Amino acid sequence: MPLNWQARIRIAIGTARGLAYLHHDCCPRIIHRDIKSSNILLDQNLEPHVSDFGLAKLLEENASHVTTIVAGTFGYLAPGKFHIPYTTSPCRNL
Amino acid sequence: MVCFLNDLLGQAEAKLVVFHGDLPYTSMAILKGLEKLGEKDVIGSGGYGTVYRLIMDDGVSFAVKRIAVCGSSSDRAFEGELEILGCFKHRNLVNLRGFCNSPLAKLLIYDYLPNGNLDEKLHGEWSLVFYIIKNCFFIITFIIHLMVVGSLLV
Repeated sequence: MPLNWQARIRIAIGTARGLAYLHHDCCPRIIHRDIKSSNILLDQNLEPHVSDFGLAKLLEENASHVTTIVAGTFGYLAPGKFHIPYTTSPCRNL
Repeated sequence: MVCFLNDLLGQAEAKLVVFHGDLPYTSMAILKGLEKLGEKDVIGSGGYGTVYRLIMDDGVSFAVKRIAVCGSSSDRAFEGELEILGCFKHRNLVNLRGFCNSPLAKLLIYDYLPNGNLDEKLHGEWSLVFYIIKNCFFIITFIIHLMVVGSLLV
């Protein structure tokens, strides 16, 4: 069945809470870098769970604690990243 | 190329790490389950690798993600990174339960979420069918409305 608006709002807020936790409450801070609808999983109560966080760095060559090279899925990338393909802040997820 | 996990795990010693210690299974039982995984258990694949569904003997499911092998990073860096990810716990993050590291396969064990992903919900086949039916209904009622108004004016 299609999602109603109430469920959609709950999913959006829950996803934002998950990302805010990664950005602000984790040490070290985590930037997801590939947030998209197929990375938001739903449980039986339609509560959203962000998946694939922290994996961008695992797959990167010469991994260091500051990850900068652009990652993501075409269609979900911020347009600015085509010109300046480096990540400096959590705005990469927005 | 199809590569079964039992082939991958069977040839070398696999290291299993479980976070939080709250899984009611022995390492042996989990490794046994991982070894049994095959192509029939695949539930998805993405940029980061293939995802399998692991069903334990008591019926509880887990999602196992096999990471596309990252050749350059060392095992220690990989494990260190996962130890950090294993510490994070939030109701809106998928819970990472543990990982299995062998020279030929790197597997991440997550909680299984039964309702799929948001993309399927938003753009799935049935959503599209409902969307089309709903719009057709609106168009037909609009045309009938125009015809009724037209007949009243005449």
